[in-house]
Amino acid sequence: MDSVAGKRYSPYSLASKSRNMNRSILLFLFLTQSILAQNTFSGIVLDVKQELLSGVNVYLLKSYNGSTTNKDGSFKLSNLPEAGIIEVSLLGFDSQQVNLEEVDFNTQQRIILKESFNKLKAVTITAGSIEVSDSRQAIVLKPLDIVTTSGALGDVIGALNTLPGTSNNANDGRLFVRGGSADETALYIDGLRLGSAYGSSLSGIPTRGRFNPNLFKGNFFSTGAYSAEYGQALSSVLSLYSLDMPLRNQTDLILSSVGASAAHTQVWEKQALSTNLSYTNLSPYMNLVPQNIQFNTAPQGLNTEVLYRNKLGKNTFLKGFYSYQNSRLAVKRPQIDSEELASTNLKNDFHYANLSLKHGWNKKHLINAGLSYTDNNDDIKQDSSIVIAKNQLAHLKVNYQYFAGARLKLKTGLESIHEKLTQSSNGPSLSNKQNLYAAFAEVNYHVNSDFLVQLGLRNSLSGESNNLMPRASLAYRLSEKSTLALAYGDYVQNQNPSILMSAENLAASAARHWVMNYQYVTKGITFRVEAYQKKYNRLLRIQETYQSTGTGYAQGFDLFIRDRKSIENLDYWFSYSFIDTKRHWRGFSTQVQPSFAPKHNASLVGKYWLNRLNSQLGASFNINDGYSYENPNVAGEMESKTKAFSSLNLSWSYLPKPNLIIHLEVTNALGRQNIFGYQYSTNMNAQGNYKEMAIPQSAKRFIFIGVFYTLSKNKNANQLNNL
Amino acid sequence: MKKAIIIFLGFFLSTNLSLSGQSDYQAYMQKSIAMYDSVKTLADYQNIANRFDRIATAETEEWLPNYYAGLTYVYMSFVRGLEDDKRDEYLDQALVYAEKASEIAGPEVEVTVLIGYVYMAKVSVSPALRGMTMSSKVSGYFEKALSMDPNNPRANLMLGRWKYGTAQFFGSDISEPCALMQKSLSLFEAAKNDAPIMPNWGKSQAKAMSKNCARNN
Repeated sequence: MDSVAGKRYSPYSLASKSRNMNRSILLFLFLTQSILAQNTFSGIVLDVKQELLSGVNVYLLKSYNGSTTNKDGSFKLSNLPEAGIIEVSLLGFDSQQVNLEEVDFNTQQRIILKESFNKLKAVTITAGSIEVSDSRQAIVLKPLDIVTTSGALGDVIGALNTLPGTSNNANDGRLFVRGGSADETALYIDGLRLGSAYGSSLSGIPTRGRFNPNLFKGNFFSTGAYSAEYGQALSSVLSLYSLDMPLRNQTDLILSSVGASAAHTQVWEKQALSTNLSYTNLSPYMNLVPQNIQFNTAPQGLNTEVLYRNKLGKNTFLKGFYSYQNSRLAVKRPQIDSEELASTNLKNDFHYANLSLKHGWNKKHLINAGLSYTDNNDDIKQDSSIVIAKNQLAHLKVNYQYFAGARLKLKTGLESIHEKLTQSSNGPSLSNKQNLYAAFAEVNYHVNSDFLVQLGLRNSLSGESNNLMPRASLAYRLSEKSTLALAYGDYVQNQNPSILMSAENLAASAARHWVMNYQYVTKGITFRVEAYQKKYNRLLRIQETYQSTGTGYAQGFDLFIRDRKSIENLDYWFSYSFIDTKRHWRGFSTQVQPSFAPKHNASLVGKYWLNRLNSQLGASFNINDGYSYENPNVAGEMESKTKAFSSLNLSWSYLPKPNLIIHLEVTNALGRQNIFGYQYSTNMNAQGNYKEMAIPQSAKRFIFIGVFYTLSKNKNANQLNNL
Repeated sequence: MKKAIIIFLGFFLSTNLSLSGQSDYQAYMQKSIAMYDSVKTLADYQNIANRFDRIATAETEEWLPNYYAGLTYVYMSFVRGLEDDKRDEYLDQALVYAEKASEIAGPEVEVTVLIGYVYMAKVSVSPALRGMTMSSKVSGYFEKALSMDPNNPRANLMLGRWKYGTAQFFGSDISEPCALMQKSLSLFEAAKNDAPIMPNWGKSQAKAMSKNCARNN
């Protein structure tokens, strides 16, 4: 194509060297010579498969002299100097350099380019993990899906409960992953532990995640065999990432059937502050809609959140988050062995603070340091007895990452977790304190774009017990669209502080996970199947004393299909989880299926955008085969099962104006009376039976109506993220 | 005396070189920009992008070569018949150039518009998936550009275009985007092209959009 005479050195460098005349004259001579040189460099560019490459930029480095290869892969450069470097580059390929001094100008060149290692296209860890983000790899869920999932009522946890690997316990509201109890899942915010992760509630009244999902840009949900970075979670880890720098000031107002909230984000050049204040009170709603449980005080409370961000430098970023929440409720419930209603009052006071600093340098090093503190206070009055519990958790953590080229990453870190429980019930207070110190290291190596190996090791020290835990993951791309992955890991988790209070030296529970995953992704369609096997050791047993001698297993598989392509404007996913799990634990004398782990679990979630009405219609259907429960009238332990649970949830979001959304949502629209188990009388009646009482849903259905209004300079901004 | 002559000669040489260096740069940039007028295929765009890439590699202190290389990759992403992945690859590359330009130039209204344009193009790859999450980024950059220079014709044009699209989607009032477009057109008409290598694209778009506005009002 075209070529221009070799460009000379920068004038500035010459000017500064003008004191050294000999050199500049030499340089001048050299330059003149280079202009006069008439060397021609020509040939073709191919890839490794010998296919001709067009569009390749072939040029003399530091000059304008260059050419782009034609359809036939050919190029021609003239007027080249004797010395210099020829750069050959094409998007998606590793660049090559040719030293002119080593070139025979009389022959045609054959230059072969290798496809470059592209991090965005390289295979990632898929076994046991579900990433919710806007990145290309996150093919299961996007952040927006979290808040537009019908039935989730804007709760992160609610949306995750429609994913494979989870069991929906609708009367509890927490996350139950692959046969694990809710406290076997650890929650993190920006890499730091969140203690008392759910709003305090009473048994049978579902709780929610604590924070506004709008504060988070995404999350990483691991259903097993997760990285060495995490510990103290026997089953699962949910890591939430708060929003980085927002671009504009914005005020959001919400008025709904259960309360009101106001949020504001203020952005400065290098800093941003987001605040949120919301007040919830279900009493007007509960006066209108009958409940299955008699509430003396309807659930109500205040929630404040402050998220601060500061770009301290080009590669330094500071984040701070603080939240204060309080809530209370009071119920009166029938008792199995008494005609009188039992009244229970709950008051909760919660603080959470989190500070993290990220600093990188030379594009090769990254340090994350942070600390978090949780202070949770529950005050429970049950008739005449009072229980006051204070849970404190502090987490300190430093991570260092080293990027040795695009394919190799090393990550290592240190952390300590300090947990204290102070509890008093009608008497003097008892307390228990635990300190845990852990170190981990992990290597992440892409052998090539299609093959990834991750090896990690974690060591944690708590009291007198020391645990060394290896972790490993492999991912291999079978074809352009399908990936096979395998993961393994050892995990430990300290016994619950309330148990350790009376049995201080009880060993931590342990689990070993194996996960195998196959994933097929094509445009708009995702299919995933994952099989797993877990073995438990040292589970808590309650005999005369507390012991950590329990054992157990969990095995099964998950299916996930998402399709947003086949039908225009319709996006739906289906997930099914089969769990076969038994534990020899707690007070049981045999291996039993835990009440929170039904064998068959399925969810179908759909979203349809109706252009004509500027509306999104949503529906979700959750079903499982029933919860196991202990029935003293039947031989054996946990041999009974409730009828199947199912719930159909519907939602309608209407956008009359870009910045105004009206949202209507009904959970359990069909009003099915689900049963979560039974309570039994402690005394046998005259017929030789124990009387039973069903544990129902707290309400037949839940109806939510909300108006979301956004004020900003841009009248198109809205709160879709809030729904 | 001999030394003085040499020094004089040296200065003469260096200033001379500097002038011809600058004019080389100017000339090559102008020639490359003029090539937009005769683009017919993706390969033509690639050729232009490669030219700007070469200049960018040679002139590490100039933001314009990076700016134009980025802009060309945005244009490439709009070529018909491309796979979504290819479009994304082009746009990611566009962003790399735009960020380099931003690093060199510091706060610069044209670069801010370009970054917004890249995100706008990214939304257009998959409006259903990205519209909701990325649109605040797009409008954010265009608004930021407009606040940096309320009289930049491209900032007015692009924010107008974006708002026009949103208004059409919601069936809402198009007077605000149309006012922006109108303003953009008058700014284009008043603009004197005294710096031939500075960005000056967008006038025909502004004309076309203003016509649309006139028709729909």
